[in-house]
Amino acid sequence: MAHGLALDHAAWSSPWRSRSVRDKGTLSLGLLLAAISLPPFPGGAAVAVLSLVLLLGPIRVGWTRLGRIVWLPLVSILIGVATVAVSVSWGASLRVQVTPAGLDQAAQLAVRAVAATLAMFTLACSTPMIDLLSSLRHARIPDPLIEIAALIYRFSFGLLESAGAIHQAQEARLGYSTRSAAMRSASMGVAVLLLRSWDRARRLEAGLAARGYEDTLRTLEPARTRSTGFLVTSVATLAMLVAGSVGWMVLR
Amino acid sequence: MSHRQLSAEGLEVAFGHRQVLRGADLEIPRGRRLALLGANGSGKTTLLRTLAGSVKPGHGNVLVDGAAVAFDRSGLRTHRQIVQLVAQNPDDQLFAADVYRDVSFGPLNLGLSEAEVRQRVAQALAVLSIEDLAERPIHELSYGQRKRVAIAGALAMQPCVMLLDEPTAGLDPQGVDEMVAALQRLLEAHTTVVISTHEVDFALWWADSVAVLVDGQVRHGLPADLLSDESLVAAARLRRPLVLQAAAALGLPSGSVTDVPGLVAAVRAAGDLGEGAA
Repeated sequence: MAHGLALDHAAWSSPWRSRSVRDKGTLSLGLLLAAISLPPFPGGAAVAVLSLVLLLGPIRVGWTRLGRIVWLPLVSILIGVATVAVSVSWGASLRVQVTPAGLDQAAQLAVRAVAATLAMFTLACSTPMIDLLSSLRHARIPDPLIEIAALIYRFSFGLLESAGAIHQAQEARLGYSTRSAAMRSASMGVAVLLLRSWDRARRLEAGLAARGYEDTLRTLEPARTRSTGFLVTSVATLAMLVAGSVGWMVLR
Repeated sequence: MSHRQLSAEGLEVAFGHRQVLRGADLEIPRGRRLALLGANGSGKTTLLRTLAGSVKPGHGNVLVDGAAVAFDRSGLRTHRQIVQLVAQNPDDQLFAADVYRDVSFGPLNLGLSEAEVRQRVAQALAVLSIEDLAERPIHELSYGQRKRVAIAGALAMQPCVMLLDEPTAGLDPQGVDEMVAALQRLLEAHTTVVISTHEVDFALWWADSVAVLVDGQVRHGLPADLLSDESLVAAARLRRPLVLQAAAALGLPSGSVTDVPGLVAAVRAAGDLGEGAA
């Protein structure tokens, strides 16, 4: 969950948070398309470098937080790449071998995957989940679905807080000192968490009713300014990236 | 916000076999500060929730300008534009991911235009001095900040009467000061402010009048009068405010003493009188 929380913190505190999702989405999606459609060298590598520069520069994620965010996807990529690099054959005996062709293919896959992941993180690290959900309204996703997703997002933090507090209280009274005590404590903790969630939902419903809630949870998002300059710069950068990559291939 | 007269007439509320309010009467002075006092479990929250329309009384009426509030959908919709309740625990009413979205919820339910909603949100955030929190996620706010956001959410409905359940509970001294300043700005915005509390020292200093809940009924009067009544204070399982205890011990009249500076002034005045007589 630390990965998710680091991503959430990064998104809420990014200077790009106030940019419109359309602007950031265009840049991020463009980078993603470039990562998967251009040759890994130099196109994919350039996307990865550019994404990294954006993440550490204007999006201001910071090395430490970026490390916490990307380690899990990088491990997944590594595992996937390893299966491509290493070939296993069953003959008279089990043979495990690494071929130059396999290594080359694995390297290309790794560059594409890392570039695509970093490209997506330029959006994820600058846009809180709630802004992404709100932008789904423009894609004509039904409001109830967005409201439920937004509530799940909001209350997952409360649930984590309650679960942590219950766990600490049990641990302080040796609730996890033996295996049987741990089993008992964990099951009691889940039961208490369920009851608390139920009670809290009931009280929240009463609180929202007092604020005029009837059947929808409509809210207004903070005003976001769309920047033509940002959009033009993004498209120009992407065009240069594509042109440079294609030019390099032609000259080669 | 125009002033409307909110009052309770013979309210009776029971939860199962437990009778909480037993014919409670209360007339809330317009545009003033009222502190509702009582011990834990005395029915303060129930009375506030009934006044806000969240609990339907078994008997009696909630009245606005003398007319009984109808506890049906349209009646409550109208009532909630006049009276707003802020829960003791801010998490009982905050549901949106960030402050701006949460404060916009009430005005949107009133069917206002986007421009009007944005204006109301900006005003509510300004009154509570939390403009800087507008785009912060609620799950990262402190308890005191969440309390102020919850008040802003209610204030954005532009009610005539704000009912606040234990607004100072759980706050540190600076948080209490910030809350008092916020309540003062509500008054300056011509809102009637009612708070529930069991902090008698705070109630004596802050309120224009107090209502004390004893056995499900309400005694309403001036803070110094009611809070120096030993039998009432004992029956309500409260205590006399410290400055009133000190004034009584010094043989001073309690009427003008509401806080420490008042006590000091009363002591000095008594000393001057003594010197003059000598």
